[in-house]
Amino acid sequence: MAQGQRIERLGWLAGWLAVPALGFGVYLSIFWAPEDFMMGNVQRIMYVHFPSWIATAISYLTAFVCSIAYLIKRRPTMDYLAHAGVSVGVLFNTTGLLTGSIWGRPTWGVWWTWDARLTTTALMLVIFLGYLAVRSFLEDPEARARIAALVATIGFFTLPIVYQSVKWWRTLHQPQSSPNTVDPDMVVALRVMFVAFALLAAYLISRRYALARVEGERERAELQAEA
Amino acid sequence: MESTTGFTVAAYTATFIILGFYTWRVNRLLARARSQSGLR
Repeated sequence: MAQGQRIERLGWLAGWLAVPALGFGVYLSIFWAPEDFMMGNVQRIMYVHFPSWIATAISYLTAFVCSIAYLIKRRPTMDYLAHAGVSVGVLFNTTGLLTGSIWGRPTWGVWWTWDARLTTTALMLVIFLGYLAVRSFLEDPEARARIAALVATIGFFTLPIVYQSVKWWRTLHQPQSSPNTVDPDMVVALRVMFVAFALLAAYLISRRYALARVEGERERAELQAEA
Repeated sequence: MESTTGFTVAAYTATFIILGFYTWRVNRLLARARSQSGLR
């Protein structure tokens, strides 16, 4: 079976598994997990906020690994996968920032603040939006893939900075929680949502990859016809 | 403490609208690209 078909089949499987996982996860998050004694119901935003960041990390990691693979082997498949990883990463980066902002308003009193965690995540989004912009500006497919791979490789290093930001700087955003300090029912709901969002990210990466592959093959055929 | 349920509903709604829209759009673009190019 061709590699492209294998990626798409795995993507379909992830998509079909993501649907019940998301339904079950939302049920656990809203109806089963206990209400936070300090924040009340608004704390339930955690079950979509935190998994958004897990999906962001998976997507950008895919883009990083595939970009390095492209720079070494120059296989178009790696470029298509990297493009898909960044597109889906930007999507979950956006939902992570948005849900964080909605959570921030009732708990911090502001929609946005230039806190180190928030600023670094916004910077990460801007860098990967820059990746998509670079792809749309460059016409030569090889130069586009090469420069985009460099941007994704360098841009990926914002991810550990985002992760460490709450430790390196004094921030309004809380540091990482441990499952030991959280109610076990909350941990279960959160883990189900992690799996659901990871499956959804895998499905979306496979669909975006398929789109990038069809567009790439069409472009290559057009260039060959012109030559 | 004032009720914050509205913020929770807004966060879930926004997340699933965005994710649903992206899923619909990428599938639509893929179907269109395949039908125009004849590629699978």
